[in-house]
Amino acid sequence: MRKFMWVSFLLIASSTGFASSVSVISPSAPQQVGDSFIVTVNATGMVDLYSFQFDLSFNPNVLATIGVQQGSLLAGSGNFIPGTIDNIGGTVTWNADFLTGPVAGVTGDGSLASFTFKALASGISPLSLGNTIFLDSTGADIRVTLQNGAVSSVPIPRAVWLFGSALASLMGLISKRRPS
Amino acid sequence: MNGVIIGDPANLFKTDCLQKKLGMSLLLTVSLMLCQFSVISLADTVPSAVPLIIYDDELQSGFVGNEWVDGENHCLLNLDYTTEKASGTASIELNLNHYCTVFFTQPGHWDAGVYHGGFDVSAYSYLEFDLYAMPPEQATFGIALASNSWTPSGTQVLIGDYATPSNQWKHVKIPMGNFNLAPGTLVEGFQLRNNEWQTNNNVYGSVLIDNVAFTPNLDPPTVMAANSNDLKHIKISFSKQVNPTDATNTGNYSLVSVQDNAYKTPILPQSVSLSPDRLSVILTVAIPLQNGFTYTVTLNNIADRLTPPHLIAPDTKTTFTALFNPLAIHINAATGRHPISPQIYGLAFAPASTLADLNFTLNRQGGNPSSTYNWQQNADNRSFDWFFESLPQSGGTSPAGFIDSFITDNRASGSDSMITIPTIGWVAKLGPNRERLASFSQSKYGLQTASDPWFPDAGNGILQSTGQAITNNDPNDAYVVSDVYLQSGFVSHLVNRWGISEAGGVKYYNMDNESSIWQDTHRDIHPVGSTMADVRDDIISYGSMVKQQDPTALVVAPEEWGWPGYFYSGYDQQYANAHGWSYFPDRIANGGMEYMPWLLNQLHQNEISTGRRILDIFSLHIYPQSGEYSTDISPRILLLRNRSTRSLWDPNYTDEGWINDKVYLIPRMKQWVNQYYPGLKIGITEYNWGAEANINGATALADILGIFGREGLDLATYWTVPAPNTPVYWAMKLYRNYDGNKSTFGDISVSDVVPNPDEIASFAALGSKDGVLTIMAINKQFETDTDVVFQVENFSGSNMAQAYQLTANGIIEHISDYPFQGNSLEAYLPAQSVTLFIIPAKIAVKGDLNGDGVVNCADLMIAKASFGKRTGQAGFDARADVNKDGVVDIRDLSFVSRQIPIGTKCS
Repeated sequence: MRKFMWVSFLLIASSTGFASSVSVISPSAPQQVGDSFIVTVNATGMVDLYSFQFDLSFNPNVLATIGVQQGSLLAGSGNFIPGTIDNIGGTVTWNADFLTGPVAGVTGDGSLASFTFKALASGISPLSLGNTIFLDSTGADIRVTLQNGAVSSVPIPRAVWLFGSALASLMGLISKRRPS
Repeated sequence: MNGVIIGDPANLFKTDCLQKKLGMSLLLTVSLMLCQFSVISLADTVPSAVPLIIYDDELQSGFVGNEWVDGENHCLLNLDYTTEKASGTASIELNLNHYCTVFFTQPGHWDAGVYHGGFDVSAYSYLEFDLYAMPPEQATFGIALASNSWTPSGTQVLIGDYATPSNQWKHVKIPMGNFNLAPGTLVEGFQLRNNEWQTNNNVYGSVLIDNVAFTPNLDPPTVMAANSNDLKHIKISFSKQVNPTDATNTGNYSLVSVQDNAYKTPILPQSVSLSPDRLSVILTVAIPLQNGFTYTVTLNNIADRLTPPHLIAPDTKTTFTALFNPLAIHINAATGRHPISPQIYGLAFAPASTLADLNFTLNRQGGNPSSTYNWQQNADNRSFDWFFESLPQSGGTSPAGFIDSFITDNRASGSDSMITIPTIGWVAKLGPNRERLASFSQSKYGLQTASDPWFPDAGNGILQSTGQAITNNDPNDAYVVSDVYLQSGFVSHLVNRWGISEAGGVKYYNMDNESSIWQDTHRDIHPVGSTMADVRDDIISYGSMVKQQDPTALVVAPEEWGWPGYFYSGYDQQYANAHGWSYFPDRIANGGMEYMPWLLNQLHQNEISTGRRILDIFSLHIYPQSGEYSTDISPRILLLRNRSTRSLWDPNYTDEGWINDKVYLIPRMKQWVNQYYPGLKIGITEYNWGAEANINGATALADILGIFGREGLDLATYWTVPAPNTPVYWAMKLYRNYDGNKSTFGDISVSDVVPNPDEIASFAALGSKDGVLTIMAINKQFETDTDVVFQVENFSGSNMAQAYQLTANGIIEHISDYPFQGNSLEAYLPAQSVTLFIIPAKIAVKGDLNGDGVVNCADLMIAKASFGKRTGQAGFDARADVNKDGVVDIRDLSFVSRQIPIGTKCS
């Protein structure tokens, strides 16, 4: 019997030494094929965050994106731009959010955006950030540490499948008793 | 074409009134025709209320009758025919034989080179007379108004249109408009002539005419038409000139409409303007009309211009349907960009005052006489232009005095000088005490068919006895030999006097002038046409001499006159004219190549072999060949003048005259240069589309200058210079000094596309220093005012456009500003007008993507709509790429967002 490697997420630091970091937070438990689940892109230690953009890529053989939602850090900006979903290429590109007017940026921790995925098949999908820009209220870049993620999915348990087929058989019998 | 300096040597004046008439069927039979000396007055002509009687039993009002005969074909002109008359005691008996013409004129006179006389025939409305055709045949003949040189002014009216049965008197009333004469044109009277040359009529029967007069129109004015095509202006045309005071009184008009609630009750127009010809008004309304709705205008108290006046019928009503159908003109400031050479704004023989006022950059000394200029004696020969006379030039006895004075004027006005170097081999000489000399002395060579009235010994070189040209004249009669050495002294003089080109001296040297027609224009010294090799060798030898004297000067050649000269040498043209246009020995001797391509290639090979460039600018001349280069403003010529500027650029336009081929001169010159001598600049150093005193000439000139800029011509000089305050003069000024402060049309051409340049032409350019967008819009149409919308891309301008306009009024008017909003400008272009729009570049507001002067959510929407797009991708909006890195990303959005006022909510 194949031994599954249970991986909740992988921590991959693209660089080190920055106070601000952005991480992909995915469910630690394996997701059953057919289940939907949330992946969040979180920021910690942000100082004067005015705007950002990023892409998120995944394994399209394993996952499909079904939604993108604004995060909490710039909530209420009115400017959130959900990225463009490409479930063939496995990307959600040009996710962005920004404040309006000459105001100070947001300092602190919080989510930038969240993504609703559906597990399509068993396997492991990395969840990688790209095309990232983080700007402060002067338009200057904020240097951040990126932490990508991953998620695994597993098949539906066999008992569930058996139950399902038995139920289908029962329905067939009931149908045959009906007068023609 | 060469303008000339003609007339009594004591009263020299420049004129371009000598025309070459060359046709393929007449090639090398170059005939000159004195053009009409019609004097055009721009002054307002007040209509006369009383007739000008020419004949009533006898000639009246100082009119005289004359006949013009051709050989033995005498006219019959009997001014006292008493046997038959319409009234009174006598009539005029006429028999217009073969080519016969009779004149009824008030003769003017010349005094010190100035003409005095003539009358303004536009003061009258009709030419009227009684006509009686004698049996057995009816004569048909033409009537034309006569200028002071007894040549027709305007259009001939065929009397065949007024045919009458024989033995009956019929009253003939010809509207003056049928003669198509410009208002204010002075004439001496009219002529009657057999018109067989037009209609092949060979009926020479006699006619009687009686009671001849120019008469006024005593009918009250009526409304001919009303229309509106922009919902803001209504044009009303009258049957005759109306009194300006009455016509511009808003109280004399009221508008009403049963469809438009805003016009349920009569409303007066906001303002009224009168057309320059006093034949129409434009009402401007404060409340826009509704598209497709019908309106009625009621007119009252509008009189004609006669004394006593005749009033329009009370409560005259005219109905029209308002339409909004503006013509779209597309301008893209990011495409088709290239510099406009400042040297396309050139003239010839322009005085300093004109150069300064027009702010033109270049002044040329050229033309036929320049081929024979003797710098040592300061004299030239007027060649074919004026009885082949050698005459002193202005500037006295100082060597090159005429040229030095010319350069002085140019420098004073900041213009560059273009000087012609004679290469023809002879230059003029003078007699003792600087006396004039003639090449074809009548006392030496015999009586000739024409001679100079101020110098009767100077003939035209055609013997009366034979009708043939004199071929054995001695060039030494009026010339001395010229060579490179002599001309080297000329250039040396100029360099010593004015410095080299880079130091402010003469910038351009022309290698003589129109050499392919020397066998006609200079047949007294060059009776055999130049070969291709002759011209090549002259350019090399004389051009090298110039470069040795001044390496910074630019050599301009070959200065060929027109279409045949582009393809055939003078030798071939002369040969073909004598033997038929099927065999060209000079071309065959040179590999069969066409003349200009061969010449360019030869000069290029010379540079390759010697390492020295001699020719800098490939130059040609062009004159339209179907009558445009004249004062003719008949409808046919007006329309032709509107179209034929296509010969400068349009590869699909076929010349409508004897050329009957596609000229597309500027692209053709570029093709030749690219193929045979890459790197040369191109110039058109003589051109003129005529009608300088008419708005039609101005629209053509404005079109031409726009074409020069758009097509990338490097240099141009008009032939020669329009008189101050003529429409063509004002059109030039629109380009170069429209506001009197030397503000100019832009110097970076950008794309400007119109649906039909024969009707509305438009040219757009940016200013390289100030970013201002200038648009020159030309409405060529006679009567159709046109509402246009300029749709401008890739230009951020201020909200208002200034406008300067030239109409038949003959002056540049600074008219009201036009709004420039949403990157479009809607404007009303009067018929026959040139309008310059000036749209200043907006002072950049950071983040103002839509150019409305503020940064707000609309700008953010533009940026967001293009977010994630790269250059070339669908949906990419260059405005949104604020940092111009080729992609619209969060940096661009963030930048725009940070400029939005605090507290703004854009969701």
